[in-house]
Amino acid sequence: MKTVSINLLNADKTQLQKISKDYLLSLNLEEMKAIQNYFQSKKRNPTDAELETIAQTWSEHCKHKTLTGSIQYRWKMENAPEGSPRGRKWKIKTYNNLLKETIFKVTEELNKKWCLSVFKDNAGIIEFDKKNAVAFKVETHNHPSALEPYGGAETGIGGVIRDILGCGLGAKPVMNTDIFCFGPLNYPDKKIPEGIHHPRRIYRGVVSGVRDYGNRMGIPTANGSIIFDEGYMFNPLVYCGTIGIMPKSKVSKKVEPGDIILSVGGRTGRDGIHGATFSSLSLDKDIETSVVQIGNPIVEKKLADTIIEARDKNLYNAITDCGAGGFSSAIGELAIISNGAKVYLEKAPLKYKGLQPWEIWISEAQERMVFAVPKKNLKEILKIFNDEDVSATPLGEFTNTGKLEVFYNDKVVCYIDMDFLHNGVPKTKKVAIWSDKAKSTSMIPINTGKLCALSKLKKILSSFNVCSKESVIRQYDYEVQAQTVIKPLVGMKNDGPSDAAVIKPLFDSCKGFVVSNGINLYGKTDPYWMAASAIDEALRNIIAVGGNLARTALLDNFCWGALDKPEQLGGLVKAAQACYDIAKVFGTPFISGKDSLNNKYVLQNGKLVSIPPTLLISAVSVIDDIRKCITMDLKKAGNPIYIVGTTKDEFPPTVEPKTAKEQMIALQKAIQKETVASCHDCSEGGIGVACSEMCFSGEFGMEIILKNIPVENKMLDEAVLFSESNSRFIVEVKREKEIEFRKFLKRKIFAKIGIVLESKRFIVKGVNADIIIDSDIFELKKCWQKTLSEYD
Amino acid sequence: MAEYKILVKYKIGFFDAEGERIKKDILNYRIKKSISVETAQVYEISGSITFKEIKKIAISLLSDPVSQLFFVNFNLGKTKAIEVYYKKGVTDSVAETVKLGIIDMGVKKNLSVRTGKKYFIDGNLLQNELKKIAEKILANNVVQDYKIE
Repeated sequence: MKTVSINLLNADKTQLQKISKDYLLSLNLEEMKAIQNYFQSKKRNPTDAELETIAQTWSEHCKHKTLTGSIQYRWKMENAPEGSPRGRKWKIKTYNNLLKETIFKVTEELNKKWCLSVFKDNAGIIEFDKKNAVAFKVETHNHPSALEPYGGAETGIGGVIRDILGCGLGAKPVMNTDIFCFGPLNYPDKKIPEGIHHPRRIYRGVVSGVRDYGNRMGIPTANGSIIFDEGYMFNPLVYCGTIGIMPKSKVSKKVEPGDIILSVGGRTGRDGIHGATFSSLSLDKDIETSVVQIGNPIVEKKLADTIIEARDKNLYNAITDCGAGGFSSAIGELAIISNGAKVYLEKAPLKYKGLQPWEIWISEAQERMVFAVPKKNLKEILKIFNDEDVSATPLGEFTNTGKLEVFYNDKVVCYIDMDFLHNGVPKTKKVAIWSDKAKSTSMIPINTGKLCALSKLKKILSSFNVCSKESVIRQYDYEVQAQTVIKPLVGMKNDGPSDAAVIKPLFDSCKGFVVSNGINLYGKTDPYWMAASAIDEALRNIIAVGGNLARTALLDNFCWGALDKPEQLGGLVKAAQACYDIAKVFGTPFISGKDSLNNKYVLQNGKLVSIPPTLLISAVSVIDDIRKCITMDLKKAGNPIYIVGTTKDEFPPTVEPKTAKEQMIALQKAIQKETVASCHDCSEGGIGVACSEMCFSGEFGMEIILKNIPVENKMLDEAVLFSESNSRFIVEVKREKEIEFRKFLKRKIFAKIGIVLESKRFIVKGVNADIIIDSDIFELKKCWQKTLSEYD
Repeated sequence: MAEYKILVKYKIGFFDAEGERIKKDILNYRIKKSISVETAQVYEISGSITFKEIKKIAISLLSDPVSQLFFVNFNLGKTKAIEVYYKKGVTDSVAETVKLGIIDMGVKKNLSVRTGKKYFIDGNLLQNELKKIAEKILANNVVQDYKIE
């Protein structure tokens, strides 16, 4: 057991960089210099533990340096008209803190009273009813999942569940949501470089990990999405989200000097060391294996149950989870509230002997939480944990000395000013560049080859990104806790694709919440419209099942590639700006978010591959009566089919938030007043796919006439059928309520486009009223179902 | 000190879902031979424990008497097999739970437990094919080691 002092005081530039590299600190020269200055003022060298503590606290993972740093953004419009005075010149805008000036700003300006805790805790918390609140958090676990898909996904889920257990004074997890981005499953084996897992293996490992952890925790996995693209070959994305419910009185924490630091749950081992700093590096072949961990859901389940019991007895002042950075981050963050802490590391229960003090301090071993417990409650809280075989150990106490003090057997391991630790990181200054490529008007990616409309429809239905995800969904327990009202699979045979999940978390109330997500691949073309489309899609999904736009909150999860390239950062700035522009108009605040900014892979030939810029938007909406919710499968022959929204010939699809919002509010009312039998969001594959899915899920036929569809410009049949324009819904209206429905939609863009048929045929008449598709609905279903089932 | 290796596998006639999935995976890797795959869970338990106690543990904790069979220190040397274990230092969650389970059964002894998987693969495969199967499908060398028998 020893603590090493590192010679920083006399180090020159190259030596500082070498220290950062050798100790895997992921700190840049400027940051190393700030640390050097600090210790020069203290007239001593730092210990290994001190350097590690600072590196963990200042890591991109914990501090979000890029998004909160200053960014000089330069952009120009290549397609600006010739004569315009500022046309093609470079313009400059400086952001002092991108996150504060875009995402946070939406929430600040909207100032919704029902947002109870935003962007400060482990999760965002909104009001549910008079007594309860809902907490929602989405995390990413990309790099670990690339190396060890099963363990990576497991610990991703485990981590986000602990975020919910550790927000405020702890919420009870009631639902999980999981969104993945993988390389194509049919990618040729021979083209996979050494050291990379085949997407098939990643896909299977990740799904099994989510299944095994989520199911064993007894939390339903009721919402999700999977997209496949070659851009994710080397760096898959694994988003894990959890929603919890808690009393409104328990949304904030406090820490008093003298409170005991209690470590609860799993033991500490050498696993996960450098996870926080590792996630701030790019992946390459020779990465340490200690960063990969295997989860233990049984330990976490016991932890979850005892936390709720201790919370309801008011036995502790604060709780947080041990995530990236381990004790150093968890205790360090709680210590901000009291302004100091004293920790005795020799007390920490270990998995095995031989750990150095700094390893105990920063290990990210799973299933651990840290509590601040008033001395008088210690005995009682320890009893609760002991009774359930949950290990709980006092590690020291919180202080108000302004110092973070860590000891090992009376030897000082770490002694740093809290102020320097949390505010001493130099602000990053970065340059971002964007130049708008000329936008073509007709770029819907359908090759206008010889294929007939039906063959194209079948091809799209069976494509990886549209096809049925049933073989994945069925592995998840989405019914456990018996609160899932609208399930991920709906329809006659319970195999149709639901737009969103609806949960009824209280047994004595019909209030519920809707959860949905929006994610797409448009980032390759235009990050602005990618972000706008993701928001629009998430909100469409909420509205389609009967959600309430006025009580909807959003979460953002940015996954970006090599941000040291100004062009990549320029895309990120555009996406963040879109979040502000679009969410502001919709009136939907952001309540939580997380970014993962180094999703790139260095190939053996030194080539750097970045993922497509990807933003996941998750939405949660609180609704008054779950009995008013609807599903997407057709219900009755003879009902008229309507479309809401304009179909445009465009790629990537744009969003007009003001019009979209008005349409959504009108449709929401129509659904509330029970005039709608079924409703489906129109997204990937456009009207063709949406209508087909409604048909084979409800086992009714449908006839639609493309001529009647409101379009922006005159469009060809297939462009109308497959356009992916945003803000559109296909609506099956109850025949007897048609007049009422039309009243609700008055002055909005909508039209009657067809009718539900008794016969099991999907018939599409083109703009010239000729039949372009006439197909058996079960044949379409077969195409839609077969793709992924081949990879069970 | 005694060391026991307990192997738990499905009885004949019970569907081995994992085995079938691996078979599909092997075909996906263009090894187009007629093969059969059987999976088994392996538990290595060592400490001062008697055979009688091990038998009790195997019957009531580690196996399901309706669908599974167990073998203690028994070599099922009929086909080629690949064994996969976690590397040292990687958390073996199943082993941790087995240890707790044994204590809960009333066998209050300090035992060391390691778990693994054994895959019996029949079908006349070449050594390099088995190696490929082990590396690409069964074991992830980041956290696991494998052994071909």
